[in-house]
Amino acid sequence: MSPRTLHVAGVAALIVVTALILAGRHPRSLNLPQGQTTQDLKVVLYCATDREIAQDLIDQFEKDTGIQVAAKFDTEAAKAVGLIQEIRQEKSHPQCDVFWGGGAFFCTILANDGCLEAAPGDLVQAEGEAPHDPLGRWLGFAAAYRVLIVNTQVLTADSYPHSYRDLTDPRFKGRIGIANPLFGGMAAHVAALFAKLGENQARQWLEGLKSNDCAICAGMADVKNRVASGELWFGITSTIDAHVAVEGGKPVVIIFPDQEQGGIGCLNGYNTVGLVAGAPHPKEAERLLRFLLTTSTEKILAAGPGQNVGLLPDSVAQNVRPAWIPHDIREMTVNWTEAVQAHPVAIEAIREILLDQ
Amino acid sequence: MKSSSRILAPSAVFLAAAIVFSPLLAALLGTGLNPHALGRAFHTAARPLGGSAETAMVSALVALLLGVPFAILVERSRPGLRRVFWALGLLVLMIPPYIVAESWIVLLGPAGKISRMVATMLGFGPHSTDPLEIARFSVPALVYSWPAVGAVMGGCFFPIVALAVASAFRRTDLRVFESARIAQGKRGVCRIAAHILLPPAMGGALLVFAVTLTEFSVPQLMRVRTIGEAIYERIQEGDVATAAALGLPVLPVVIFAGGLGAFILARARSASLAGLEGEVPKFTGPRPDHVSDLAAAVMTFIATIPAFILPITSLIWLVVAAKLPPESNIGSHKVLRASGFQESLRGAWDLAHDDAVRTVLLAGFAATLAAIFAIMLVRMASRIRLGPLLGTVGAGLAVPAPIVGLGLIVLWNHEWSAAVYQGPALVLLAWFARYLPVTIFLVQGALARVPKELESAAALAGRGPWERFAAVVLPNAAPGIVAAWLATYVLSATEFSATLLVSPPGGPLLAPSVVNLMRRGQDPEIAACQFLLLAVIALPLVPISVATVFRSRTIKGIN
Repeated sequence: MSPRTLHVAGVAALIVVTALILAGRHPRSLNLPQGQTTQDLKVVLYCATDREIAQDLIDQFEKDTGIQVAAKFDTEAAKAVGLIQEIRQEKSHPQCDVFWGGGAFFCTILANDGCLEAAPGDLVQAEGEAPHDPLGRWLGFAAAYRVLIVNTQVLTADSYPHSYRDLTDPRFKGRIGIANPLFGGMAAHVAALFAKLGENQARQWLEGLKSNDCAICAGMADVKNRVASGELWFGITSTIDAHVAVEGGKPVVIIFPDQEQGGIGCLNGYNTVGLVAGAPHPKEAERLLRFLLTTSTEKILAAGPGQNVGLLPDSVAQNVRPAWIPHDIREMTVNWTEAVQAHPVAIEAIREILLDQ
Repeated sequence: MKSSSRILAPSAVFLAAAIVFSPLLAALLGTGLNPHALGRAFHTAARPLGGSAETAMVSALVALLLGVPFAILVERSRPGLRRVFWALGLLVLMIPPYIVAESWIVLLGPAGKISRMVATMLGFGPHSTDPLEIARFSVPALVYSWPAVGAVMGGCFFPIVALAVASAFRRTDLRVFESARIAQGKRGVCRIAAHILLPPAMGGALLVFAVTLTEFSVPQLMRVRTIGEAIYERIQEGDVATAAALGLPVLPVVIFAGGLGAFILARARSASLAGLEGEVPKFTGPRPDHVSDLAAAVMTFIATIPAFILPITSLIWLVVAAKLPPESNIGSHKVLRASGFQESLRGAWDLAHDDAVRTVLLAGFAATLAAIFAIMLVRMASRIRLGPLLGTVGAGLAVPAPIVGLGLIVLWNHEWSAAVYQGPALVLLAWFARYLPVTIFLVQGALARVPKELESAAALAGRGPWERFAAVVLPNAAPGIVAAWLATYVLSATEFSATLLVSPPGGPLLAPSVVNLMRRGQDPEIAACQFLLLAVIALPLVPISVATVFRSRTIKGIN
């Protein structure tokens, strides 16, 4: 390689790097108090809620308070080995201040592990009827439901499924799907079913899935994709994913399952937020918590891609919800402490029945 | 010099081993190993392990079937076309396997755009005009099987085999084929070809086998249970030590496969892109004609179908079809929801341009550092005959990504190491732990092709070690070193399982962001994100291409 070649390569590389650095520069306008920089005020947020849902709120919080949010996001592809395990591993020397997301199930696990600490009493009280940990270690807000997503090109209205039990209906054999129940939100869902129905009934349901050749998809978004393509006829997903398909003009319809009289109801996979025990920035963490647990936050989340339903008392009074989500959803009542206790049994059953181990 | 090498070389080998294996050891020992849980885990891991082995074997076979004929036919085409065919072949390495797997499902799945159309054309579709019946028609789910996972992985990594074979082919004096033909006819040619080309091909295939063994994202998408999934399950249960231990049975297999591959390739002195720049054979055989060009073109097309043509087709289809109904634009939120590909691309860039810049700079820095370290390590190790020992570092490929991430957290999350833990250094350590073996392997091959006689001659001429390195070794090994740099860059920039865990808060990197947007997004967003990721991966090709063009012109000028 001649020196000239090296020089040309070097100059070209330098141009690329300079262009990149220039492209990466973008001014941020924050309402900081005089003489204060973003380095002075900081809060570390581990956010299992999707970035496209959370980013607007983070920007708004930074603008309002001048506190810089160092956010770290999860990805569905990493299953539940992302932020939750990171908080567990960091327990002896916490780096995170606030954990947003994960749902009641994983937050209960974290709380039981001693990774979360109680929120200020007034915030717990302000939750009212909204779901929260009795000790205030996690607080629920902004609901998202587990629904059935149905392909309208392959099923007609009179044959739509209406219950989680329809996944075991032989009419749909080989054409139904759920996310891998060993991971993430579906693990929480199955654990909740074990707690709600009891081991015997829940195992029967799993056996029904097995005999109906239920597809074990890579995640709830994957279920949505496969139903939208017509590969599967219906499956369980979240309102967030299902709405993406509807908004994208896919031939699907969203059904809130088990709404009939006496039905177990639809699982509410609401957002949760908690303070990490021993967090390095407790004051800023509390401010972020107070910012998130407001009706104005729930309004932004309802209007955004999350399509969440307000759960805080004021939001309920103001009926904060996307227009397409019905008012009178019958929700599945879940004791998440019992669900966490049932989880090991559920895991064993899933391995034994669905995975033939 | 040699005495200092005796101290420095083992230290450097130890450092490389420490970088690669320390996360695994930390995960094993730092989180408390429970023998009971371990026994239970191994009891349930037999089937997933079998799944991993089956997919790895198929991927090695596919890489062989595509790589060997590709290399031979392309090497026999005219020089101008040869460069084009090789460029197309190497582009395959730029596309992350998880994007390839998704495209297979979209195009070849039960409701695939291509599979359904082909099945209908072949008469397998419904013999009815009922729209319900037509919509319900789907082809068998062959894409959700371990052979399909193997085919995807083999398709993604066939250039490794092709490079090894091409390198050996270029170094061969083609008169041996002529002699064999005269002596024994076609049988003789086949025998001599097998003798020359089979070892490097097998070496490359073994490497593909090793890389596939612990892959997680592709089997997960294609619903095949592998050891990677079993490991993720244990992590979700919070039992990191058992998860790390589950990776241990794979270690000896990878050491054996990777070590054998490295040994074979080192013997053939052909383990890198260096082969493309290899010595001019003494006899080049018959001149390439249109037939050989056509054969090479057909083979290039066939070889690039699995991991280049299919994903690009899927991407183009998404771009063309990416248009949302106007009424779907809801709210005022700042996301990618937009009416088409261009707007989505703008939205993706707005949301993730910091991540993209950070990724390019950090991955470029990681690749540079890894390449420099690997050169020094290989030079020192080979001087005191420790070269083969470097093969053991290859076992690092068997350590699953989340174990690397969680192990690094255990190892570095302390008061005294806050500077490392809270900055991008931890990301670099994660990438080194995962991909330093690849860099070392490629650099080892690149340096092995430099004839020792040249360096000896320079030494006799009174050149010192640095001068010899700069004037003799570096120019000859440059293509191979560039390949090592590029491989490390691409692998680092597209890694997300460990990166997600160790990237500092407030400093997200592109791959995790884009992978999530691709999963959650709509068609325009998915297309925009794929395009953005591929553009970032391909960015370093700009200076490399410029350098290559100037180099050819300089050489032409000299001639």
